Amino acid sequence: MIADLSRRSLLRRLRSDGIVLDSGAVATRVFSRVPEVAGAILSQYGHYPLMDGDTVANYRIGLAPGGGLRRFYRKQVVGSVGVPAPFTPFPVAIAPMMLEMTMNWCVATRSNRYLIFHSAVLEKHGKAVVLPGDSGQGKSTLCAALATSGWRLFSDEFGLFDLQTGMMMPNVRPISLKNASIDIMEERLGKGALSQRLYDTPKGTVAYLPAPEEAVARRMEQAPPAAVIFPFYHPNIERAVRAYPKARGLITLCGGAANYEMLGAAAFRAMRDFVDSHPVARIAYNRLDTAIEMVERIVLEGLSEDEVATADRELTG
Amino acid sequence: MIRWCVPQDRELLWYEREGEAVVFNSASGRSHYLNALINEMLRYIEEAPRSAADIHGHLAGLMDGAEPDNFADRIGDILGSLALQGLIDPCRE
Repeated sequence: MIADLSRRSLLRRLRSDGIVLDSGAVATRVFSRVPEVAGAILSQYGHYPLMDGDTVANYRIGLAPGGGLRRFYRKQVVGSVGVPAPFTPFPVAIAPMMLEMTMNWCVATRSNRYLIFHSAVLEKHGKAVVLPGDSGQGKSTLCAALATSGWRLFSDEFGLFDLQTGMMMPNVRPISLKNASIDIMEERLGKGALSQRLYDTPKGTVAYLPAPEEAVARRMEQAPPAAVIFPFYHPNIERAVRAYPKARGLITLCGGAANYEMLGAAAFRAMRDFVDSHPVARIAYNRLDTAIEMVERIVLEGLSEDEVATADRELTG
Repeated sequence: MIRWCVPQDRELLWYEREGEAVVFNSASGRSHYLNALINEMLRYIEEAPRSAADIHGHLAGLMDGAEPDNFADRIGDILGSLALQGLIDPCRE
């Protein structure tokens, strides 16, 4: 395990050969001489396997100290991926976020073996559920709740659909929780389950839930998709499930897929078959346990006739 | 009178459910959601070149007299929008 390395040994490796973070679909070799990056890796990836130095990685990323006066005063860190990339320096206190964003950039722009949904993905009973959602809809919070309730985490951010096998591929990384969802998950999981809070980030306050050990251990195990569920947290809706009209579900998924237009007709055909073959639903809830029940029921049993018949209605309690 | 068609060099891939559709335009690599009305229009144009009057007559027949106000204007707007998205062109026959 990476945590078998002392912080000093880890930093030495980050400065020389780099360290490989193997998340399943993607292996990333990370280089850095910023101590806070070593701290982030120990905190979030300590239970990941320590890969051999000659492991072939998909990507190489660097996290370098800011230049000029920023080397000494109000230190910064900036990600690099070997080609021009849109990273601006962050304060070194939020180096863990820079690490995650740089890795995300590589997945979103280069992992074109996969059709990349903007969604969380989890698996149970050998069936994967895809949870797409824009920021603020509750996707990551629900993902964290499922991942700590018997569902196997595939990804909090990117659903990787293998165009050749038709399976979802894990990309197991920490779950990024923001603002109010941090308190919700701390209350649910207890103090100490999450990383230290990162304040004043571009997304507000952020904390990471490390990927569960089982998800890390099984990070190469694919699963067939079984349902697409758009989650929506609403304080006044106790429980609501509707089918999502499939053409609307398809265009929403297309719009959120990072490499959809680049993959062209192959992506359209894959997405069309994907949507046509599985239940596509919207759910609304104000309690996570209710949402977990609904997800489980839809994945195992599909949608009821009433939920399909009321597809066009608003989600209400 | 202008007649509209789907250009022959343009493959459209379709997904239709419950009257709605998503169409993939091979020329642009983009996908478009079509509600039931626009879906019907594009399908009708894809069959053969059509004028706005052809389309109006076809849709009015389907609506059985329940034609909305300013329907001809709306059809004209939709044709302009479909052309802007590269899904149809004025026909060169």
